[in-house]
Amino acid sequence: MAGRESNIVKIVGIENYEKIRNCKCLLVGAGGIGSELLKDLILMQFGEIHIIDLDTIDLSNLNRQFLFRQKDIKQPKSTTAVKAVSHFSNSKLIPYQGNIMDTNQFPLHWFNQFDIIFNALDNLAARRYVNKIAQFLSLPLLESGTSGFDGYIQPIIPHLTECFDCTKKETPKTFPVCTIRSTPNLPIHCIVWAKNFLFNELFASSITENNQDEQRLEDKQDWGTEDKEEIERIKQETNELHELQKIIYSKDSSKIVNILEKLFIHDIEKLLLIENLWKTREKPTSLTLEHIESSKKIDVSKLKLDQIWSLEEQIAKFINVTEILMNRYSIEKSIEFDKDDEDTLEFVVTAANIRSYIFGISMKSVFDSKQIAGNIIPAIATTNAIIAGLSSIVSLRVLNLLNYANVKKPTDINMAFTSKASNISNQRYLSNPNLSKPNCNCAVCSKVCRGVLEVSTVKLQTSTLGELIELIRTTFKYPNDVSVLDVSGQRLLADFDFDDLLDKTLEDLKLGEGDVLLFTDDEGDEDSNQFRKSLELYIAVVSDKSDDYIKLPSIEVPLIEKIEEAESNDMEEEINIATNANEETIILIDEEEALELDKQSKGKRLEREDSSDKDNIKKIRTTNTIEDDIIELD
Amino acid sequence: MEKYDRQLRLWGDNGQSYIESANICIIGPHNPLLQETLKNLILPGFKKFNWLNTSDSSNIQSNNNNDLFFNDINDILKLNEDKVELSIELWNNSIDKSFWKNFQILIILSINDKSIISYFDNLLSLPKNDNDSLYLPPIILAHSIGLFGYVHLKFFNPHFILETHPDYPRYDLILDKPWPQLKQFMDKLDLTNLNDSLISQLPYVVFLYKAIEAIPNNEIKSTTSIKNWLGNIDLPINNGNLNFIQAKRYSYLAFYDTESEARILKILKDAVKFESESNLWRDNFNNNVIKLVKCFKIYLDEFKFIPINGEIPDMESKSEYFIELEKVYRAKSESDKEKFKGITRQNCPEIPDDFINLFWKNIRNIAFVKPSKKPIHYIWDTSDLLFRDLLELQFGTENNVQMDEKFQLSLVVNSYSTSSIIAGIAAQEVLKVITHQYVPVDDALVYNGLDDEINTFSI
Repeated sequence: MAGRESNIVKIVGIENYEKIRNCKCLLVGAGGIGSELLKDLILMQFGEIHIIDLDTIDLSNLNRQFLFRQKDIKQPKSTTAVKAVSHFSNSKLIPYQGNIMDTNQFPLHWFNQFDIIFNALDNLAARRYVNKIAQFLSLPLLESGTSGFDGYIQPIIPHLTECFDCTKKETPKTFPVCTIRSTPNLPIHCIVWAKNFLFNELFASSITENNQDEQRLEDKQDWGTEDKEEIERIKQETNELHELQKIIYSKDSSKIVNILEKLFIHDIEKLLLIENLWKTREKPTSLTLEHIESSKKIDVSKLKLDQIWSLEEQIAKFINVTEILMNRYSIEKSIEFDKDDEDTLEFVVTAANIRSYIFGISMKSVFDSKQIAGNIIPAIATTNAIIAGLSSIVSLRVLNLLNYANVKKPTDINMAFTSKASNISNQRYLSNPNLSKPNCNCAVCSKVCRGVLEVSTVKLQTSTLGELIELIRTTFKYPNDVSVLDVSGQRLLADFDFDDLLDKTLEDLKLGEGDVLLFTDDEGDEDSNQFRKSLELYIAVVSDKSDDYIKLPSIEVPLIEKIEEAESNDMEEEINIATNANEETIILIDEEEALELDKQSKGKRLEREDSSDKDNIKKIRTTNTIEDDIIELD
Repeated sequence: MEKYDRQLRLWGDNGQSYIESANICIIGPHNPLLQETLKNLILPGFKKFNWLNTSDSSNIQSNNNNDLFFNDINDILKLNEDKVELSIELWNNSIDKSFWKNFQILIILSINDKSIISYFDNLLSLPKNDNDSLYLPPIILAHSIGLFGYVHLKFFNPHFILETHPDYPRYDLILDKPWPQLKQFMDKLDLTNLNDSLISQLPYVVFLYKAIEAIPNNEIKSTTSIKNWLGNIDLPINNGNLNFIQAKRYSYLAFYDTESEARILKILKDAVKFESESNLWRDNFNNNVIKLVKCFKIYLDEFKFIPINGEIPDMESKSEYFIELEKVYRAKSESDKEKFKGITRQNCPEIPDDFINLFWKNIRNIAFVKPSKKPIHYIWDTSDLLFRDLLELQFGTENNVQMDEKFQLSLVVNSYSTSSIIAGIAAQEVLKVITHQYVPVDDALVYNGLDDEINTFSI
């Protein structure tokens, strides 16, 4: 290791070299950027590197994730990556296969062992989660991502520079129910229908499960239309789908034609009867039995994935692939849509294309549909190498290890965006603005105080919610009227007209490790018109302390000017603790809300049911996370 | 092809086939920059390499240097399970010039011997009438040291790009230059006779057309005058109608785009200057493009306008109208293309039809990088001080280094991450050059790790 060591010593000096050797890094992601970063961090001689990834290796990773080979397919990424580099590593390497947002596997105190975090993630939810953890623990975070020839790095130094959420990120796409179910006008509407609705109803769950889900969802649904007739039709159609699922269950391939007739003839005919829908829209044209009949002559084995098939070819392929899935379903019991599972992909693409034909929308090739259905982001080795290299070098400045290039203030450090910018008159290959200070309107890093509430296992069982509120109120000088939200569980625990839970213990309330509580001053000081800033507490259960142990963070919660009513909704936290990174959900909301959400950038709102007092309505945004990032890396 | 799925979305099967058939020559010592560059080229699918090793050591393959990631150069070849060929020889200054005909690109990494540069400058200085003088492939020069590095790309023939992949596609509706079929389509739609429902389903293009038609010829027809006309229109439309909103928003698309025209004409004019020597060019793609450029000039002399490519933007519309409109534009593009193909058949019948179609589709996106006629050693005359210092360090003349102490750390050491970045950029440019997609850097950049800065300039 002599050469490597002496090089880094020459760059940072012997004292700082020791610091690097003692540095513990967390690397979140062992995909494209992660593979590169792992190599770079090892060669920089970092003492200890923990690497975590949820995924297993897939064939389409091999064009860039250079630590993996064909034989590693289906193996976990993190352990495989560590095995591949161990022969030359001078660093202690610890791999984990898991979801970084899993609070059981990775509770807050687990993060606390690290000196720096490197994000090499592929989805917005996990990026936001790690960003928030970094804020809780004041850990420096190196955020990064790539998409094709474009990439970025953003060093985040909590409380001193902008956090990941200080600037608005591309919002998940949301569609009104009625657009998806009744009045599609874009290819993506048909793909969402085929993937999130049809495929799920037919293959993703058992028959009984579906029925229960429907019952539960029915009353909460935002339909996106006032039209009673249409809502009834959508409900009825869903029930009828369960009948179709029985066909799948029966394994009788001769009945696949019935599925086609139901979806693409009868349902469309019913839709046409709702005249209101077609006053300003063009009417769909349903499939005919002739179409289905003439599709039988087609040899599906000759179809090419990068071409747009004719309607008859779509139908033939639909029948063919449904039969395959039917047989798989009887063995597998439940099939998830996976963009790399050819059968599920082809089912979704053909169903979507047949629907597109009916609604006069252009059809797409399997290759193009895959990009939409799978949220595929182009990725190449070169951009990942550049971005990982930049990320590892800037970490030296974040840790202030370059004596000859002293970081006087954090905002002297730069972020960087590369792009195929040479398209733009060759002027720029990389832009490198200095980091900004935190955005004072940022709900994640600026509008809320944050800290860790340490509590012993016994105290969790004995301490009541009322006692906890009292403790917090006196410690941080909150007035009487505060509200307490369980951010993780998305529920209100207490406010001035809701005191039912005050006598319950924290354990009764199912609060524990990793849950996050939000305290808000609902009263303020009338004279000064000031409010105590909101406080977010992360519950950490400690086992090595006395039974009576409970400790609040040693922070000060300042008074702030009263915030305008319109803004105050934003104060409530966006909730994204403990959501699944791989969860892919399309949120269905009504159209008016869609506009509002465009502005607000996330999730769906639930209103507290029993609220009679308008001013006191707690609006909570859920995070049905959509893996719909602009920038990714896997 | 599943393995390449994520990158095919950037350059398609066409780009991938160029990658898989290219032959690359790398010149340089066995070091991290070379390993990383080779790695970054093998991963996306390059398969044929020659390495002319300039290491002093006689052991050219294995890792006697602890700052390398791969123990053995052959480990890098295994990154692609398909067959990858690497032939290794030691560099020598007497390589015959015909050797360079084998390669699509030449990558010169971290050499410290100026005589290699002189060797190539010698080839370049051979008399112009010597055919071989133009036979050098594009050269990439790169080096990294400490927290600094550079990449320089040099073309000896013009380099054409058809699929430049602009961030926003440009559409030309040329409603001010209607052809009979478009006029016929528009004339069928009489705004005063359509009912409310149909009006709200008209594609916005119709409003724009009617506006241009309605504005008297003695008045200036502009985006402003279109918007005025739309503002005063006496029709059962309310301002919430999406098609009407789009008409206002996209009114700038109505006119033949003279700005684009000027840009394209300039490119064609510059490119044609190189046409006389094109029989000596080594790259078939460039050769085909220059021939088509020549044909296109003939086309323009006769038909005057940059043709449309047949694509129209998405718009709110009754699908019947949209589909018919699309047909009208496509048919126009196709019939113009047939006229163009009439010219190509006479002038360059050997060019495949697919290639002509690609040219036609991308005529609005065409770009080219001019070749450089200067010898390579002109890099020392650069006005970029950091670049010059890096060259002095690279070729062992560090006494000439002019910049301050931050270079002290850089005199000898490698920072692996810097090599990763420079190798990433070098390979990125190779991909652009070989696929003839995306515009490569013109023509040098310097990375400064102290400020996360990359400075781009022309030599």
